[in-house]
Amino acid sequence: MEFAVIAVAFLVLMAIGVPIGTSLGIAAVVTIYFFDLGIGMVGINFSTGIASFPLLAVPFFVLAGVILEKAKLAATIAEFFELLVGKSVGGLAMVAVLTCMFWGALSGSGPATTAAVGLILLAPMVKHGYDKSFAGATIANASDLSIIIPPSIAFIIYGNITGVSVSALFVAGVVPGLLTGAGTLLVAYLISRKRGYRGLEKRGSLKEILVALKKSIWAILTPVIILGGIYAGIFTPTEAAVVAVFYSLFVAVFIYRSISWRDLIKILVDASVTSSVIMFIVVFAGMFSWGASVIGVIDKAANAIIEIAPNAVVMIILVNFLLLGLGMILDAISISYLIMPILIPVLIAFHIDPLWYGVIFISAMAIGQATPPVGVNLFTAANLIKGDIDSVAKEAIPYVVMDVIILIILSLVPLLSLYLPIKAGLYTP
Amino acid sequence: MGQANQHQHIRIDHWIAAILLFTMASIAFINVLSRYLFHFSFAATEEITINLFVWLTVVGSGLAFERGGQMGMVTLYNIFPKKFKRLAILISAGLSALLFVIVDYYVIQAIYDELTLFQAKSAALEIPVWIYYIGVPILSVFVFTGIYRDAASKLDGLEAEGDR
Repeated sequence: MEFAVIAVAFLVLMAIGVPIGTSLGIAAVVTIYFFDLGIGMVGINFSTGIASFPLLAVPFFVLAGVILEKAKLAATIAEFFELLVGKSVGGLAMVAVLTCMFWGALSGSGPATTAAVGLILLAPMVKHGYDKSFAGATIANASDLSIIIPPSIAFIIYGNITGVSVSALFVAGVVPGLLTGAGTLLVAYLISRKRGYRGLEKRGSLKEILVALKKSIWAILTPVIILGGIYAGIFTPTEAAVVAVFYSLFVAVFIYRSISWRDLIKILVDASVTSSVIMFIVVFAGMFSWGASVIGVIDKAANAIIEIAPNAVVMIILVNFLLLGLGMILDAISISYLIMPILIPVLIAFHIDPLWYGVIFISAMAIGQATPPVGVNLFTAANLIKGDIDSVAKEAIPYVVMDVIILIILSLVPLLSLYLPIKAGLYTP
Repeated sequence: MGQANQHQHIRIDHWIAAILLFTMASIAFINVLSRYLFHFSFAATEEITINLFVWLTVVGSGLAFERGGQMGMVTLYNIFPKKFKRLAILISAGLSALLFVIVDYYVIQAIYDELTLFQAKSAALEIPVWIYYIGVPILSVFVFTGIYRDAASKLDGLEAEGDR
């Protein structure tokens, strides 16, 4: 009962615009104090909540992403895809989706992808007659893929909470990410055909395509190094992240010569801020969920789910609905910390594979990034087109429907997620 | 914007964040290289990296507050009347500052206990653990200034907006 009061207070704080991390932190401190769980440990727990080697992958992947973004690599990639598919119906929309998918393989964060790709492709799309809300919605939605396609900060967090190997999670995300991307491409194509958004005037000649490929080869190699290294078991995700940092720094400074040493300070500061925004939530969400588990709330919630759901399929569907709903008001990291501790015993009770479930869970989170009111990608996109979020959200509906269909497919066919990690020897169910 | 930045002076907290992150990445990278190229591991340095990560998070959180970049819900806030908005800004800043005051208070207490009672050393490098702890309260100064600057600029923004 007392805990219910704390939970409601947390929701009220969030609703009036108190940062999610602050709201969680206050709720955690009050829980720890009120239930006498050892308030004296709050200081040390703050440190231990952050100081973990697997979580180091967060600042490093963020940093690599910011370097590549400032190196203007997204433009090079977009150019390549433009030559490749630009002439097709809805050419630029397809280019946007493909660039987002590719950028997702460099960056692990949705809003960062929306910003990087949006800055390059929104203006040309509007110039070519695309509705600007549709353009924003396309990019916002395709950017969801960056948390499914590895590297993904959401997977790092999921691994941190559940103990599932982050390497295995990354590899498991590949096929579902490509599948969701294919669905997004299909929707972009169908809407463009219906509305008569035409392709670009000319197709790139083979020679032009090869030149563009040569220009972007260094960028294209980045995901090959990251994923290849993890797939082959050479790197842990944190190691792959730090290799990506120095590889992208090398490429940006010496190959493309697009950043100066002075830019580097700004890049480091920006990456620090982005990483800290995530870690601020991680540390206090972790503290809150620890408190809730010690006082037994987590167990009660888990038992309630086990009792309500007659079998695994119903459980997964019910939880997916819950996640889609929560995804509208909370960010992916907070949801992971609030929900996953409850779900771990549930997964065990229903004999559900936690790696496979991770893919489903993160896919559901991804959809939440493109649904209002806390759809972070939608916000970023709406800001970029200087439009209102409602019209962007309306245009996002067909994409969200497609994402939900793919989510159902992923929920029905575990092999889509599990085949690669098992084949790589990274996982045994 | 690029022009303005050229002449802008880089603030101390920016330097600290940049140096911390670059140091962390460099130590981790040297570890990867030495392990795969020379089959030699400085794994003990991992301890430094993860503790610098704690410091980085404190400095970075301050900058994130200042930039208004902490994640939160603004849907309801946006439709509040001006008076409520002002109150929400104050509550938000007050609670964020309070949270760090609480964390700092207990970290300082832990440091005091370490110095007077436990005198524990870290597992890998045998550095007294209070040295790792002390970064949190010191760097929190930037969190408090960040929260203050964010709230002040939001309140100024409200004034400038005029009556609604």
